[in-house]
Amino acid sequence: MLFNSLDFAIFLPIVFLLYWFAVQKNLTLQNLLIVTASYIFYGWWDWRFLSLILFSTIIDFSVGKALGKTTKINKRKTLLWISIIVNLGFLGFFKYYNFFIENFIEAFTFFGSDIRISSLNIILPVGISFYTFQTLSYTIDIYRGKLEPTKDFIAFTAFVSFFPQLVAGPIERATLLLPQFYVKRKFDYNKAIDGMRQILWGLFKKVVIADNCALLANEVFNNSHDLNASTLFLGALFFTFQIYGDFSGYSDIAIGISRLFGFNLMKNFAFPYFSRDIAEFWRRWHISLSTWFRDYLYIPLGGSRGSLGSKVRNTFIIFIVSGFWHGANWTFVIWGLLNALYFLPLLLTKNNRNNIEIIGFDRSWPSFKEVLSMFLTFFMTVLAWIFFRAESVRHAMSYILGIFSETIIDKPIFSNMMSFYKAIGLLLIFIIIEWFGRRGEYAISEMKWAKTKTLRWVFYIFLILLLLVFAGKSQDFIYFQF
Amino acid sequence: MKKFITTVIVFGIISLITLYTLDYLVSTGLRKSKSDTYNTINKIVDGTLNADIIINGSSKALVQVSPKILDTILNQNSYNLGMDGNEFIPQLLQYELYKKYNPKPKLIIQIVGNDFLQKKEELIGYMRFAPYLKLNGVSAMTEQYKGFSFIDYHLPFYRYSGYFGLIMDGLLSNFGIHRQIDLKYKGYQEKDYIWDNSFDKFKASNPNGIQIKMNNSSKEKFNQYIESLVQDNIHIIMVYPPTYLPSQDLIRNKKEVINFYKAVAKNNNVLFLDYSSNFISNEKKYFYNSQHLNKNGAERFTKLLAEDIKSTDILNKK
Repeated sequence: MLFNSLDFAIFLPIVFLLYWFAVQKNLTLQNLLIVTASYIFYGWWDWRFLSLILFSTIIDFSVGKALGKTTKINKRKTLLWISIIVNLGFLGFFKYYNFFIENFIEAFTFFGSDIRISSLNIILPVGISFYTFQTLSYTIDIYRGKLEPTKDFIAFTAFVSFFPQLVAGPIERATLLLPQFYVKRKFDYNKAIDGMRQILWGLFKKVVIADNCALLANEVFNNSHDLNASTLFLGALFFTFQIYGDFSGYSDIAIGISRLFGFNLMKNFAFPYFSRDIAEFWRRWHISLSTWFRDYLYIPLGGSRGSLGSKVRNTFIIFIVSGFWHGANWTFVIWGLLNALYFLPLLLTKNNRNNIEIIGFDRSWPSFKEVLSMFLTFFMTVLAWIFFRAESVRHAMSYILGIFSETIIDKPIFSNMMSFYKAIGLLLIFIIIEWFGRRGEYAISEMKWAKTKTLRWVFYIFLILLLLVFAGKSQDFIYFQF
Repeated sequence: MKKFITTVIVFGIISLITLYTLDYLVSTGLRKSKSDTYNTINKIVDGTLNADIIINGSSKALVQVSPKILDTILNQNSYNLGMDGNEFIPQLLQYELYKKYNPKPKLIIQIVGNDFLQKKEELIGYMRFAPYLKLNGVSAMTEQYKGFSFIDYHLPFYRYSGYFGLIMDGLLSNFGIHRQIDLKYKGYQEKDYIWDNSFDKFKASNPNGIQIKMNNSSKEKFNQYIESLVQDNIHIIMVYPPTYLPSQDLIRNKKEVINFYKAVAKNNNVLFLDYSSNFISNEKKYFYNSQHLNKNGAERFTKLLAEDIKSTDILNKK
């Protein structure tokens, strides 16, 4: 079920009303309703893969329980490995099997051997990368002694399958989300209103920004061989905003819906395109995944401690794994590698934590130096996204070479120039709103300029009208494929 | 909770009022629009079209029958209602609307063809019906196709969602500002094009030809339509226009299709003019693709058609 579909528009109010009116007095029933709603939500796409979620849930619940009963290191390690192997095994099979087989065959062919292994027609279960990491955080944290194993199977099932964030995150930590299922949720008017506002903003990002940019980005990436440099650059720029609007829009909707049900999810995006260096960008982009890798991969590897060699190694590992997490294609690996290369100079010169606060926190406008560093970081990000979007490494390379040519000053060519001007106009509105809202949880969370309720409502209706008037042709959420 | 629900309801009502207002402004504006999409349907519903001869059909009518030539030769006032990409069902609706709001025509030239009685999944150019969804029969027809969704019919303004250009046209037309004017002459769209290569591609991808599937329900409705015209004392001529001869060889059941039209004509005692084997069909220079005549071909064909109609003296018959 898509957030921006009629099905969901009917589903959500029904679940909301049942949750707060029919089962609000009983915690177990509230959790059970969440589990039922989540399974319906997921099964709407493909009910067969519910068995995978259920299996992961049972395994991790059992492993967690067993971990709680034993203090023997070897047994604890074995139990942890069972959880890791089962979860990553499913992920590996569904997401990476064909990639490894094809590359295995290519490698043998390169060395003159002819081997025959068939690739399989595998459907990638939606959201498998997200819920796998979420359940893994549960067993790893119990193993580390940071979390008590739960005895409440329904609460745990609700934690694994919680529908607002099941298919595209934010990837929640068991330490943060699971305890919220142990206590009865009380309806909070302000929290619910804030949730509604964040849903509206998320829809705007997805339907207006991402879907309009998608049309132009798809046109350019699908015909990149025939286009001039300025059009190629703009195509990459549109994809840059498409992926941001798409993914952060989804996160905003997920967080907003969770608030309607009395839950707090972690912030997943914090105005990443206003970053002044790539380290700051990675603290602001897909925060739930970056911090997951930091806590469960980077720090166990030694993090930024140790020798220069180990620092460099750890940086490359985390970025390459992060790239590979996104998809079974060398383009994602190169994307990760490129980001590691961007990051490395900052790490080596100990400048990776220079920009912690949001840009111009106590000012309206950035300094000239900040503008320059922001533009440079943004430009580097745009180049990296080309690998993320391209069909192959060769495609990405020819695309980038195409940008660095003399036609960069030529007039851009789009089949529908009206769509181009429309997208540029919408992006300008979007950037202005994001800039003035950058100190909040999300761009319109505070709206300090709107002193009265009437002004705020006028603004919401304006957003709804923009949503309707400028709705782009509906596209799937990009991160569903991960 | 009570406060939240009240807030949501009040906000919902204000939003709905805004959407109804916008819907009204855009719909009334589009009903005044002179753009290519709306000019003909607006004239139909306004009752200002008022022609003696109606040419009904798909693009095969739209680009192939010139009212100017018909008017000159037959000394009548004709109008081309051709709808690009649309088969009989939407054509029938358009005619029903014409009948409801305009005086009865003397003659209908119904252009038929191979795809005339097919039933497509999508309604091409469905937005032309958007301002008229509330009119009797319109949504009954559009619901048979992909195009408008459930929510389009029930939530005000939603059907215009994403059509920024149309919304602007609608709003501006209320003030008499028309961003685009329909340049077609009495509905006829001349195509001064040269031959394209679409036929070669079609031939390459369908070396064994194709089988035309005529929809049973459409066939039945077509029969009823012809019967009703006869009962209403409206003259009707069914016309199978020229199509590029080599393309006809790729229609495996061409005979079956033609025979169906012949049978309908015979049963209802109406005229069926078949130009599929006419000399024009053999001349590539008259076509821009295998199914459509270019300007030159259309003029040649319309003259021929007008002369044939004139020779039947049908317009002087009661």
